[in-house]
Amino acid sequence: MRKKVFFRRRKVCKFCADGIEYIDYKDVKLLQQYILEHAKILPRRISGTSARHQRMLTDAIKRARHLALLPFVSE
Amino acid sequence: MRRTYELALVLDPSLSDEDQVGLVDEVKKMVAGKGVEVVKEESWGKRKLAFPIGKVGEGRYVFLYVVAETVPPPVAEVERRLNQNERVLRYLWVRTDEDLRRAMRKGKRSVAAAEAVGITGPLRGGGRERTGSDEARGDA
Repeated sequence: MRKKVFFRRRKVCKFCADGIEYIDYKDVKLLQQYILEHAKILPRRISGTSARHQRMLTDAIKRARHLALLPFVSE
Repeated sequence: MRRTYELALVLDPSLSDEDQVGLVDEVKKMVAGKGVEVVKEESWGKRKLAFPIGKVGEGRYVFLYVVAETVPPPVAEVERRLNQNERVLRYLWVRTDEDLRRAMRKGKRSVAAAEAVGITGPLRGGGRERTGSDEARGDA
């Protein structure tokens, strides 16, 4: 009973894979891929983003929100 | 210690282009001083806001790239004056040198924001073509 028997596709952090070390709050196109339709930040359990990169990402998203580049909520 | 900053401004959309230039010049004068220089300016023009601020649905986006060689820029003073100016919808100061230096040290990609303020460094995996962030990350 130690391991589940079915497979899950292993998720990889896109930023690690691409060697991106700076996530710009001005890069709206990129940030939009990491918000859900209600404008919540996509959790890393879904996107597979590494903890470091998720941290950079949330900071960038929050900066972008302050500047009204991204929504806080959307219905 | 050389520090770099970005100052993002969201301005009243009803400004004319000339008004915008005038206002941005005013802000640049507030920011610059001895040892502090605005090295680059980027304007996105009018852009739809993600949500209305007050009653307006658009804003004029301007980004100033600031380099401070010795003393930090007068952030508090600039903020105080931007708060008083009702043509400035939003502003944001971001200190970028630490993050950008780390990115140039560890990353495999050049960062446009780093080039703007003259932060360069070795990139791992050297031979990779430099690509603009937009087309490189455009795919979903």
